[in-house]
Amino acid sequence: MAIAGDNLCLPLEIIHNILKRLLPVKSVERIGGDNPFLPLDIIRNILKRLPVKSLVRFRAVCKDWKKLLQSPYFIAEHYHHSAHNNPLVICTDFSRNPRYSPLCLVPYKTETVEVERIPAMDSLRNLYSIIGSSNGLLCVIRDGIYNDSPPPWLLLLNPATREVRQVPRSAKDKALGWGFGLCPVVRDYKIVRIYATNRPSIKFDEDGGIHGEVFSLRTGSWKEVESGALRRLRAFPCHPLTFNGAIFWLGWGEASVKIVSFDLTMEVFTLIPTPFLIPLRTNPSSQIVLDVYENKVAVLFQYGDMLEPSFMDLWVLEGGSGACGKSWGWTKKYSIGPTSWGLSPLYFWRNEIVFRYIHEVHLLILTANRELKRFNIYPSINNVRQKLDYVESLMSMDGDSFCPTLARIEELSARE
Amino acid sequence: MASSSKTITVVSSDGDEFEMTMKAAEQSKLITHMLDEFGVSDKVPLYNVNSETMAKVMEYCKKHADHEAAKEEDGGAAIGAGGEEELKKWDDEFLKVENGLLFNIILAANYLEIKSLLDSSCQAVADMIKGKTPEQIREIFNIKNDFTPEEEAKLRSENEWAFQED
Repeated sequence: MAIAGDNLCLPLEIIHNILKRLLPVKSVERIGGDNPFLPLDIIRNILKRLPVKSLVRFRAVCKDWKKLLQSPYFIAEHYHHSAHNNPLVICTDFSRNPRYSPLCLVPYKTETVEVERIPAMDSLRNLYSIIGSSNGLLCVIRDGIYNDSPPPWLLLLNPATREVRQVPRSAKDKALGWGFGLCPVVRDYKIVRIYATNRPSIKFDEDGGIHGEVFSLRTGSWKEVESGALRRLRAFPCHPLTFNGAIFWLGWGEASVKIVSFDLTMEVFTLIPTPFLIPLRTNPSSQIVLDVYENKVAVLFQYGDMLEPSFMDLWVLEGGSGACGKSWGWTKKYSIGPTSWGLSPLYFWRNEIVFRYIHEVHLLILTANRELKRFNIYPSINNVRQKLDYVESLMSMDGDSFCPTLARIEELSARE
Repeated sequence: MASSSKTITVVSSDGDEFEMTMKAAEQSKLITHMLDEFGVSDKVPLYNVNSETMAKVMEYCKKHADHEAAKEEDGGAAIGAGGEEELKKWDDEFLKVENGLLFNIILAANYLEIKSLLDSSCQAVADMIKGKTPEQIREIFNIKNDFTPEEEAKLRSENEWAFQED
């Protein structure tokens, strides 16, 4: 960093060194301006604590700061600080009217919840769904369903820096399931797409023509992956769960529901049988919740007839994605029940179960001491439909190909 | 285990001497290592820290040493549930000084390896600069603007939203 002044061009440390020998030691620290000079590692210690908006602005301070703020090392340091001190949850509202009802950011750790909007997402005008959130980036999709509907697009974006990148759509058949996550080993973001080439047949012993492909941000292209494990599945009814280097879905097929995992490093699909057998119903997702409980992948299984009190068992998956023979196993955590009819579990919030109850407008949450309370996120969100873990970060999608930003999003939304 | 009644002497860059208890000295990893090397009887020279800053650092170390001692007594009952919060409030007040001294405290905490003081003081600066403009940042950290007007204008227009008020 240069000193503000006409003639001095030596680095401050050298000036210190010279003057230390000439002047009383006390005044060395005040050379070159009012405040003492802070070395770069201390500047980093300060800057890593700042919100992304401030840091984007501070790129304009000087060239050294711009370089620092865009260095992968600093971005990682900032991300870790952000993840540890201010983890957030993105919530979509149940009653989401496509014309308004913004996404909201909720702090995960604090009790008094300050809810913020995400301006970058507002411009997408709610005509999209979020496939996943991973390490500061979101993957967002709009599918063109009918001929006269808006054109489909697939985006990667960082809502904090407002950086957007459009992902090429592979010209293949209708998607059955999507997933998004970061491969921790090579630090590559990947999008997974499960699709069917045939019209799925009812007979489960036939090949349903289900395939998987993966997009890598590093290569910028799609490629097929070995999908033998998916052969006998037919539907993937729930939101995917990205956790610990793998993506998980509920896969419905044959006589049971299976957990489908995709290991982001090995790029393989693995089927993990669930620890329970359920009778096939038309909507298995209403009976099973796939979420994270106490930092492990967990399934909450609700059973019992629709018209009678139901029971619920919570199982956690020990071990990893199951890929390449990694061992796994299920542990039952607890059972709940009998519960009254009309309670449907939705997801976990800080390790407590959130329910929809047929007689109530608001959602309910079952606390650790078995109390059923109203689940409210003050002030405006009463019905959180989808929730995703999120961390504000400076993560960039490769300087070469990112498009600034809001204008691009508006352009995409305007094409309708 | 050093007894808490033992004291050591540290010397600032201005030549002033400051006494601190062993418990307070243990807040600083550097002083602890130096004592292990040179022993307690010598005066510890800290020529990178001036007297004004040293006085503040002494105050911090004493406060935190007393807090730790109180936690150890009564198995923590003396501190109580609000104790950590109270300490944090004390830290916040303690750091309400003008920037020059605050920066010197950061440098001293860094040099003396007092992690909690380094974290708190860096956080205090972060909170203070969060909403500032690039011009204000340059003034505070005494940084020369080495962008051309065109470069700076480009940076602003690419990220206009970041330059607007919340």
